[in-house]
Amino acid sequence: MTEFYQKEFQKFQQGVQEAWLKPIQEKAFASFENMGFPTTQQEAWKYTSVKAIAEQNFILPNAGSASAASQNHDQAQALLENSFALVFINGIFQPQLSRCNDLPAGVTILPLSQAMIQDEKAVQQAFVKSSENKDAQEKAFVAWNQAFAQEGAWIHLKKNALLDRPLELIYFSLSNGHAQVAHPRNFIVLESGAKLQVIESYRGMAGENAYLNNSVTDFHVGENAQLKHYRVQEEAANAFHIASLNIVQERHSQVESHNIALGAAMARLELEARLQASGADCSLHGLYFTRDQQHIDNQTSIDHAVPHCTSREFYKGILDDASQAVFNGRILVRPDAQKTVSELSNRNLLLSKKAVINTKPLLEIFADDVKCAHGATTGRLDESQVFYLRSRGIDPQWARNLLTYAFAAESLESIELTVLQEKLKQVLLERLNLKESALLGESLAQ
Amino acid sequence: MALLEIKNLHTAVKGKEILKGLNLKVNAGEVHAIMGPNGSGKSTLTQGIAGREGYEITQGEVLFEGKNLLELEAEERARAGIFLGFQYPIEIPGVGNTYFLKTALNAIRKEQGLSEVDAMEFLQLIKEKMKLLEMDEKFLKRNVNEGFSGGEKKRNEILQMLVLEPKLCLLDETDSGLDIDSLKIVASGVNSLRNSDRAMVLVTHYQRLLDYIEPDFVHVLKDGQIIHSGDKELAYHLEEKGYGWVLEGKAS
Ligand SMILES: Nc1ncnc2c1ncn2[C@@H]1O[C@H](COP(=O)(O)OP(=O)(O)OP(=O)(O)O)[C@@H](O)[C@H]1O
Ligand SMILES: [Mg+2]
Repeated sequence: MTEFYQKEFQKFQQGVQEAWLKPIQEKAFASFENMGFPTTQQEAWKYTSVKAIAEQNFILPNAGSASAASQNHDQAQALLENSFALVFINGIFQPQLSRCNDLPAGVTILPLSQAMIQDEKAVQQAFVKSSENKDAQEKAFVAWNQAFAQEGAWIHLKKNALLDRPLELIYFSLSNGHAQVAHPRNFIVLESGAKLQVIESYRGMAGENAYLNNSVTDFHVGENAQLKHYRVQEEAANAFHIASLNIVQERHSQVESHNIALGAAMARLELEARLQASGADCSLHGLYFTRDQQHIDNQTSIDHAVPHCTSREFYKGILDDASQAVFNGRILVRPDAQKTVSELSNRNLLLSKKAVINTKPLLEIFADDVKCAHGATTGRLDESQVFYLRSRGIDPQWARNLLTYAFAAESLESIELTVLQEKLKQVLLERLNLKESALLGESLAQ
Repeated sequence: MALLEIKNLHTAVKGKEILKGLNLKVNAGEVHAIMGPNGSGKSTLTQGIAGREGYEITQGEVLFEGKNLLELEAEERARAGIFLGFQYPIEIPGVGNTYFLKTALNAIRKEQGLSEVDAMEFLQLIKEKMKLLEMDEKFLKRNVNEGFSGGEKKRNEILQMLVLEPKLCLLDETDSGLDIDSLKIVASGVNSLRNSDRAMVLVTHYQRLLDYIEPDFVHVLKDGQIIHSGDKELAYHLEEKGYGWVLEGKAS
């Protein structure tokens, strides 16, 4: 790997305009080189092999070809009608597909490349800070991202600023002849009292060669600020998706993060929420649905560093065919974090005998006055439910699909953004060959 | 030709023989009641007729309209006109009651070569049946049996039966868990379906039900066999004297 990426890095650096950025990225590249790709010998990667990534040489996308090949591509469009949107194709910003005009006061939404010019000082600070973060030193993919980061979302909400409509960050990828890698880098800051709903979405079209998205997203959620985050991973079937998501929460901030993973041949999301001032509240919701030979890995960690914070985490998985999933959910309650209330659950539904789930919910509690609960279940469809449906004349495969849908849809119910909830339900219905959408009595009864 | 004919049926569940040579003949237009002690095999019989997997038929035959029923899958039996009202109706979270029943009805109609009912037609139909059963329309919006009380679940079974209009209605302890008013309502719902083309098999522990739905025959199922059959008077005697009486009666 080394030689190829060394050359890529040299080429890349020639195009970097910002003098301050070069040393940061050199340092990051050195870390990446040093660490190399993780192996299954490492505890954190025990169940997820990145051999398929390590064995290929991924080139950086070429701006011209990416946009030429993909202009007006349906899937690169914003999902919602009236949202703000930043659209990227193969990691490259697409102004013609993006919508970020008429922003309310105190709100900045820029592609990172633009922010480096307009907001240089702040971007520099953000990069310096992230290079001091242990992730850039300890996690090969984060270091790799940092070394090549040039594009992404730069979002800043000033004190009490409110984005009245959802913001969509759309990363659409399609391979065009080479194995390509993009390194989306998102910085999202909510100052105190700010409010944001953001959809981070990854979609793609399979080509002959797999592409890799290696994304890093940082949230800083200030005092009393409210963040609703919806991450939808629908990469192409042969794609790779590696992502790191960091959330830092201040006093009385509220975060709700939904992580839906449906696509990619291999995907991994490392999510870390750090509740570092009291009164912070964090909800994580996850849904992964794997089939064929897919492998989806979710690593989550909620770090209760101070007293009086609350968190809850509900992840559900559905595994079909010979697919695999990994769930590693850690809740850390540090010695000072008295009065923590936290719960964690991971429920898995296996649709096939060949599917494999590795689940490990983990509470690490170092404070004594806390309320914490965790649990994981893995099961199959309830045969008595299947029989009940069949006994009314309903086709057995259809019955199974319907029950699977019901299991999955439950975890989407908590998505407040109804348009998104409905879209995701449609995706599930299609995947399960259930064409009708009126699954709930409601829609029929009204 | 009988609507349902069971000949020398032997059934094993998990290797244990439950039905041990059961015979029963049900003609269209008839109502049969089956009574018998706990664990005697009543639910094994009804679930077996409905096609539940895991009920291994070791011997005997079951004919429905003269055709071998045992060759059919559960859903095929339902489409052929067999309905089982479950002793313990199953809760299905996440699946709407209305949607479920509409899908079931259309699956059965398709089999009969009838056109699908659309959402509006269906809503009208189900509301009409709900009125008959004095069911609140809020149940339309609920998930299948989820969080229903015991009595509400039983009423929901009858609602399904009224909508699906089966030829053979097997009701497994539909009366258990119903208060006296609900029992009357459910019974009148069942009675509304009685006609010369349709047959009913009611499994019950209580003679009370039979005051409202008058059976043509009463059978006693014990230890996997029908050991005694009679008319509705038999139910009174059983209520008074218990099942021991039948055994002694047979012995003498
Ligand atoms: N899945 C099963 N596994 C093991 N035993 C079973 C199973 N299903 C039924 N049985 C046994 O078969 C016997 C008959 O059960 P069944 O439910 O048919 O009785 P029943 O006559 O309906 O009783 P009740 O009046 O209590 O409803 C019982 O001894 C029961 O324990
Ligand atoms: Mg029973």
